Amino acid sequence: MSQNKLILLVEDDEADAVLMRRLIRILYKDNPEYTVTVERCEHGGEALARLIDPSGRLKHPVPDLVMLDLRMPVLDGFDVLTAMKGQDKTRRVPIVVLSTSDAAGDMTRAYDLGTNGYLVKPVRANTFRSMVQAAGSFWLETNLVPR
Amino acid sequence: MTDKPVWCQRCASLSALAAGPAGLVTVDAKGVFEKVNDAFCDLLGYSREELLGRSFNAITHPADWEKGSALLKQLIAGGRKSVSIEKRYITKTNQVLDVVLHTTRLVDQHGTIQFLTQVTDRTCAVATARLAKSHAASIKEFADICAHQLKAPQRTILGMAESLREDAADRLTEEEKSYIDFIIMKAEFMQEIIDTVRSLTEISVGAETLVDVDVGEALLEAWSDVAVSRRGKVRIGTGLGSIRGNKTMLVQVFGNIMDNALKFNTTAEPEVVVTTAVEFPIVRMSFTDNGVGMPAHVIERMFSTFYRGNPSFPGHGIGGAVVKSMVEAMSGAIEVVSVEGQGTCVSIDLFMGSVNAWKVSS
Repeated sequence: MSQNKLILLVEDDEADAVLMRRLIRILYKDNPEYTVTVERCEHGGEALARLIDPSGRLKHPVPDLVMLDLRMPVLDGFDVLTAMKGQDKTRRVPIVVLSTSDAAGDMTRAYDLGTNGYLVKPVRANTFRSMVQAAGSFWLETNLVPR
Repeated sequence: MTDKPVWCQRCASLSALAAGPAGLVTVDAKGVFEKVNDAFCDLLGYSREELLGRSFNAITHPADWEKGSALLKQLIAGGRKSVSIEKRYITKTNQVLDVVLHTTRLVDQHGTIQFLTQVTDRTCAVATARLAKSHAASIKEFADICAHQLKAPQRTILGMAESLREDAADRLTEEEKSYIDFIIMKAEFMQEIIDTVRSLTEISVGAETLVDVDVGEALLEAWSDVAVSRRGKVRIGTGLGSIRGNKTMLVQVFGNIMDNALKFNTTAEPEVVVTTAVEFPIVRMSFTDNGVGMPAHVIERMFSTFYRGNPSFPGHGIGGAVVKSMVEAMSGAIEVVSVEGQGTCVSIDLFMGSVNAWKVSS
């Protein structure tokens, strides 16, 4: 029986979100062990409302991985990291930044706020596919997270 | 190493730098003027004959004779490669002129030590430098923002086009697939333009940041990149020394020139030959190819941004502008001679480095 995995994609760019969903669908459509669902939030505010209830606890289902863009309206990726990684109740959810920015300052700040990984969106589709495949293989199939 | 072809010997003598806007002089160890350029003469109001053979103290404000002497002694003794000093000169009409002197210690092929000094009117230099720095920073910031903003739609165009080609492969006609291929090709082209425009905006090197660069190393590094994608050979002579420059820029300049030499070439054996000529303190490096050559009207415009002289070869017309900007950022000059059907000779003039092993090569 296959395991269900959930990715929460926090991404304001519609086209990038479409491409990501397509990639996940292609990569996992014939996988006998895992089915992967992608939920999307369009900005950081929507993501925090999805992830945290009014008492500050995680809402279920808890994502197996959050893929987080940095530059978004309302609340950006840094705000999400601050909120999620700043509290005991929510800090264990794996968050990987997926951003167009390769600026050292952004990377440093993201890691200082507790991101578990930092990926830069490549231009070429085949490179993007390899990256998502590697990320999925590690974060969904290999990495363990306490529940 | 063969001689340069006859058509290439029309290259002018090493006078491009002397004709430049910067005041330039060479002095011996006693501070006596050996060479002065027109810009320096104009700055002081003296003729060349009135200056040659005189000591620089003859035109220096007496109160400044000892200014910077400790630094100059270190320079003469070889403890420093270059120094910058502010002084006051007295012009021919007895005006006091605040100047900035940037002096580099050079050794010619006979082992003789000479000193090359760039003289700049301090008032102009300070204001111009401040303005240039601010302007360069603004342009770079603008280019970075544009490049960053362009990446997202470019990635979308490429990603969607490739996804469409893959997902709908069995439903598209060959003609429709070719439309998608055009979209992908142009989107990749955009990336090259973005990268090159960013290179252009990063050209803002002041004299104080120029260092000795080993020309042989720079040539080999540039060639290793070119050889990956270009068919052809390069022949480089021995006896190469160093120049005052920026290594990253020099590698890019050499690479761009050699790449174009082999790209615009339809012969069975494309080749570019690198030769050097020395007229202290300037080195002229000439890159001569056996390519398609260019007509005169193309040579006149080849350093204009986005100009493409020969559309039958791929390119986006920025390379020439980048090369010229980088050479001039290193206080150099560039000249091109070309004959259609025979080839092109690109010559760049740069200042020798302080560690000089130049031997004249044909």
